[in-house]
Amino acid sequence: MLLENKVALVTGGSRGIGASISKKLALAGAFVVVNYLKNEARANELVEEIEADGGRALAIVADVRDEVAVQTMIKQIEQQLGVLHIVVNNAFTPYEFNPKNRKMLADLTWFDYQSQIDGSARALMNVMQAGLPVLKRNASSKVVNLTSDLVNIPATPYHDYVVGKSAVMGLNRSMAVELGAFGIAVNAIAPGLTYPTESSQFTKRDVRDAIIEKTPSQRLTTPEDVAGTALYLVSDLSANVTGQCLFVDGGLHMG
Amino acid sequence: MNKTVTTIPVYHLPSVITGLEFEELTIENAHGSVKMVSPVLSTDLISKLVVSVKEKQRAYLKKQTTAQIIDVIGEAAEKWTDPNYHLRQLALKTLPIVTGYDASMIELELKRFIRLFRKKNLRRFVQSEIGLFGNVLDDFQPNASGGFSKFYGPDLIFQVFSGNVPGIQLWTLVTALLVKSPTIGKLTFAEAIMPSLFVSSLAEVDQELADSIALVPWRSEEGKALEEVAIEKADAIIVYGGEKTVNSIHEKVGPNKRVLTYGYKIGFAAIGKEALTTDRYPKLLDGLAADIALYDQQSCLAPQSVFIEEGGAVSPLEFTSMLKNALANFQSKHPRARLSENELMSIESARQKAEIEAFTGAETTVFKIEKNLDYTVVYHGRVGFEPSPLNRFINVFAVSSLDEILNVLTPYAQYLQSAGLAVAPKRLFRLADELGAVGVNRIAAIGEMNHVPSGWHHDGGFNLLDLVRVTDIEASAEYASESFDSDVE
Repeated sequence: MLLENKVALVTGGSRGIGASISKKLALAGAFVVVNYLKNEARANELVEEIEADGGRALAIVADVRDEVAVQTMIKQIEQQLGVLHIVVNNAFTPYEFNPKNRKMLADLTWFDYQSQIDGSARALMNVMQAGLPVLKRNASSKVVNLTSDLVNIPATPYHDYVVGKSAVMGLNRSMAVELGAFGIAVNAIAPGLTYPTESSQFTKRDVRDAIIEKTPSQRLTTPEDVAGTALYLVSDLSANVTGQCLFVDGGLHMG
Repeated sequence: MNKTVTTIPVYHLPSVITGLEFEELTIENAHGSVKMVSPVLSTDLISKLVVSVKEKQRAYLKKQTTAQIIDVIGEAAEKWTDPNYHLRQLALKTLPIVTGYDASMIELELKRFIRLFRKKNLRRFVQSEIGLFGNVLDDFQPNASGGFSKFYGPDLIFQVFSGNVPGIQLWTLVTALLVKSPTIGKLTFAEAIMPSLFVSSLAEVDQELADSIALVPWRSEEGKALEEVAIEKADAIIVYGGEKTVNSIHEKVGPNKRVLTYGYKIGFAAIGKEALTTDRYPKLLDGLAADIALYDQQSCLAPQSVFIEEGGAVSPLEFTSMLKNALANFQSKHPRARLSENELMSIESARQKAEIEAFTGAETTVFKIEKNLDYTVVYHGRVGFEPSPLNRFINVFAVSSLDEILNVLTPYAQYLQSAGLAVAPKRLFRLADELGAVGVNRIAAIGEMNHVPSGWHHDGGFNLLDLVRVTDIEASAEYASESFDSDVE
């Protein structure tokens, strides 16, 4: 199996894209730590689902925006599992992709920006700083950061969200430079509009159809699509690939 | 598999020795096939070789000036700097098959190594050790106590070579020539190629000079009688090899002959916190990985342990983590040689020992690839010292100050040789002095541990001076002789 004997942490791993990635990695043999923020029942359900399929998983609560909570989570992983090879930075501050009611540039407050930066750059900083000492012990490790194709084609200008995800894109590259020498590969995935997820439920059919029309593959992205690319990036199939961002959006953006 | 078999002579005989029988030894592996040809040996033949090389020394070698000898060696070395030189091509084709070392690594290192024998470097070598550009080996020269002195090399040197690093034998072959001594050399089948081919190059330049050297390979366990003859006839013996080989020769030789030994040595690297700045550490890392990976630590010059001082921009543990990655990269660039079962087992057991240490709660971390012995990096969170099973196995020790390392080195004093140092100028000399006092005899930059300059002091000894004896014409004899001048008044 591709991820035999590997331990993976998926932040925001209990729902949406995160849940798909958790399942995919577990099916490939990894022990998956499903990190969640609030919904314990949901996270436990996913763990049970993974176990029913013959996989192994563990749900751990932590707000990735909270440095102490993240450190406690990593400590728990170290104590219970001893190792950590894969980190998927997927969690972000809840965001409503609602083209009808999005905030205009003039209406945004610094709080809006801050909450997106907290959910992206700050979360990344917390998880990486706590996780690096463990990752650096491995012969090789993989980090995958979830960003968005909106960074390159902000078809709907969700300014605050784009600011947060642009920060991820920048950090993705600079982290790859510093961590390459440790055998840690750092890559990003930029999904297009991923449907269905809770965040995308407010993107109504008209906008969805407009996106589909411009997309070479003539369809939206599914959580399963993103999980496939994540599996590639966390496995040895992507050996010597680092600092890259793969767009999983049916060719809407060609980078 | 490459089906062509390359035939190569792994000996050098004086040209007067003819009518011999030869035997063949074929080495075949994934890299190709080599048929090594060498003469069938007997004690009689060894005696004949002794007579022949000694005769050539008397009739020719001793009449050459040091400068002339340097010219010949330098010209032979220059041949090797040409990529199209037939013997270089033959060496590069056969050495990877016989030694198992990566072909591109051998090419790079050999190219670099052979340049040490250029005329200018040989002149520096002689000048640095005995001065007067070696004239004191040619004729009596005025000495500091008012008389005259001349140096003489041994009448016959028996050299017992090892095969750990290709070409390493050239050092003492050249040294013997420079002191105008003939050589009988026992080669090992593990690497008999470079010395044989280099003496062939000497013969291309000056047949008579090359005739003062005889090199033949035999297996130590089968050649006790041959060895006895060679030891008996020689007045100096040079031995390369492990402790066992060196001790056994010492026992056989007895106290009355000069024995120079190049045995088991331990090198280490020490990195000061001032060298671990964010802009400097990547280069240091590459250098250290090269020091560990070149010739798989088989050269006595390579580091077996690394000390890293805390307090730099990257912690000792982080540096170790990157070292693991650098060694993994080296493996893809220059793979480690194929190892024997014994070698693999000693890596396994050293790994197990480290893993037990890690498991029992010591601050030890083992960096490795499961079921893969390409490299092993063991991090120890405290000061200590561990010889390595070699073949890209390195122990790293975190220290709060490099001053801590002196105590742990002391028990290994007799084995210490090279130290790779990365410290600022203000501590270089102090630390060098302290390391010198515990037995270290060579301090190199990290990244250069496997590369010695011409004129280095091998294992802390002299190369030429340790071989020669001196005859003095004392001032009294010189003045007295004046009185016997028939024309004196």
